[in-house]
Amino acid sequence: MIRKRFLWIELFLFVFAAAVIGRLFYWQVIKYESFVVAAKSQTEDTVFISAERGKILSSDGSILVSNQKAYLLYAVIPEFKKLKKDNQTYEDLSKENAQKIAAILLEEKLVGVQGEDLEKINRDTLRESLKETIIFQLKQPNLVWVPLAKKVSEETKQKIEGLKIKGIGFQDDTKRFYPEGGIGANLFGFVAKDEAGNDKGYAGLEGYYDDKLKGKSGRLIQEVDSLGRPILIGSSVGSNASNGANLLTTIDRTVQYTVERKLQEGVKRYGAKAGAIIVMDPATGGVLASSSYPTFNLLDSTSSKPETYRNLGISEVYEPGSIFKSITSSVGLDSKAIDTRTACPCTGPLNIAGYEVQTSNNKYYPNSTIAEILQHSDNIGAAFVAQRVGINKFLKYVQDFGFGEITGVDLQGEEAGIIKERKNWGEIDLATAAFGQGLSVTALQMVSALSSIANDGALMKPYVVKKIESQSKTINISPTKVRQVIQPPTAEVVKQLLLGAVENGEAKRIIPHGYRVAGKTGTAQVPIAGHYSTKTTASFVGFGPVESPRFAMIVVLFEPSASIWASETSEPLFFEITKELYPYWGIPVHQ
Amino acid sequence: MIPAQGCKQKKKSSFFKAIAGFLIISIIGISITRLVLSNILATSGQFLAAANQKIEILKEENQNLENELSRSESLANVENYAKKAQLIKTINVEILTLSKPIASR
Repeated sequence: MIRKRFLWIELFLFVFAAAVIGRLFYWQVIKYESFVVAAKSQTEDTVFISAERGKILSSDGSILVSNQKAYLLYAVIPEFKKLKKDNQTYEDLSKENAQKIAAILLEEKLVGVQGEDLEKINRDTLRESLKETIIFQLKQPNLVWVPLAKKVSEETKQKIEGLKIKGIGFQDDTKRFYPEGGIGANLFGFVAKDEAGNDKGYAGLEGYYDDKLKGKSGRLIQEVDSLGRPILIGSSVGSNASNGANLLTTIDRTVQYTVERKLQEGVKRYGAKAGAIIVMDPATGGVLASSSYPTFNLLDSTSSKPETYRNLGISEVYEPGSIFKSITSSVGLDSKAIDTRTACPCTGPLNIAGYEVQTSNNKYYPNSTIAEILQHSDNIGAAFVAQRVGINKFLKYVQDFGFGEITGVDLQGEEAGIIKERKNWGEIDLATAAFGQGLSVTALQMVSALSSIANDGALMKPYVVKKIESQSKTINISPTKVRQVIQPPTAEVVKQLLLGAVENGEAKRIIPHGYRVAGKTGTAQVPIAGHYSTKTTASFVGFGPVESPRFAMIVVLFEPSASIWASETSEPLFFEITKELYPYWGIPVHQ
Repeated sequence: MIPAQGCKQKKKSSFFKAIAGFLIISIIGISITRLVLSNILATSGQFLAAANQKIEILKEENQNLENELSRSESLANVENYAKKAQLIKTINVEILTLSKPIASR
């Protein structure tokens, strides 16, 4: 009997031991991975280290674009619902609080908007729109957490916190900071969210250098105690964040500020639809300033119209008109098709392939030299020069000056312009191209080509960033010579011809004297549906002082209404800016 | 000769005993020190967390100061300041060049 009992006890102990071993096997072997994960989740903490976006600096190292703290405003719906009073619907609760928050967000939206732009804004409409967005988010079905507003400032955060609304919170974020306000919007571009919700640069420098500017965020996995504090002797693995590179640009902030202000005034004064100005150092190709108007609000880019994001100086292609005669004269002289004494018959309109080519004022100047052709901005004279050169050579020079292909400037959104293929060129195309019609260019291509004349015939690649400084390395970007387009002696002659075109040209009575600027006006009719309209693009491109060019600049006004002529709009605007730049650079004015 | 040999052996054994004792004491000492230090360090996470937080605050403060400085020296701000101070823009600026003497005897 006792033996039997012992046997039962042994059996029980065996089964018990087997059960324990089996359970241990289940925990230690079968469920090993899930327990490791569970243990790690309790003892390890993953910290994401965000990378700071790089700064954009002017040529003197001043900050043009930096970063500042911002917040994502969100709502936790279950918490927010607790605010509902007994006699109140959720819709009323949402409306009441959305109204309060929208009023504060509106104030932030209006920061940086000044003058007429501020007057144009309908505050009630904007407030309603903000309110509707918040209500829409608060009504999202099946969501616990909803974002209400992105990138709100510290000041706005404090004001909203002052409302003491339960369920409303803030999450840390950063946004771009612009010490100069809205200056240089189309040059810098902007930062917004991509499809994955990450910051991404769009347009201008932000778009072109996004990979360099954004840096690389890091991650640190460390052992923590029960209160989430790191254990110093515990294990820690991960990668450090690498901040984005800083861009040192060729932009002169004083020139940029001056140009920006003057362009805005000029567009309004001359009733133009839009305008663009680019200032360049002809010796290096470094862009000193670039402005485009209308522009967008850098402080709130998402509320601006998408068409205002374009930098018209690099992305708007247009027929250049008579400013192209500076190129035609260079081609004629460099190819030896003409010299400075060659006389154009220029007795009247030209008939080419059934088309009649006239001058803009229907006046004709027989026996004109190239100097007189430029001074009178004579279409017949320009066509005469091009005909002497011939299509093949003319086209080759035009391409060598950089037309028909992008310059490769380090800005996002550059267009190449339109130069027809050789097979599509006829005699009439050659004649019209000579005075800048029938082909399309960008303002940057035009100022770059004229810079090559100022630079003894050497075409330089335009660029904006001269140094990229990251934590690990510094990249210096040197000026790049693209090619020698015309010979230095030709360039010297063309400089003097263009100086004469300014000092003895159509606007000689209204422009200030002594600035020794070489340049050319251009009033080009705008082609609409295959025909030229009465609307014009008025531009002036020039450089100065002619003896030792410090800058080259192009001023383009699209469809000015005060006067269609460049000599009465863009040329005076060019000289207004020049008058401010000469004392700034210490360039003497010859009395 | 025998007693002398026994004395030498006795000396040798006491030397090894001393070494062994020293090693044991050292090991125990080091272990205790390690235990104490580990204990101290293991609970110092809060100091590290506080230091990290302080770094973040200082970084933020530094950024704010840098932004404030660049905003103050911005051209728009300088222009506003000049207007408030009723400074007048110069109309005629003459630049003197070194190539021409500005005075001669």
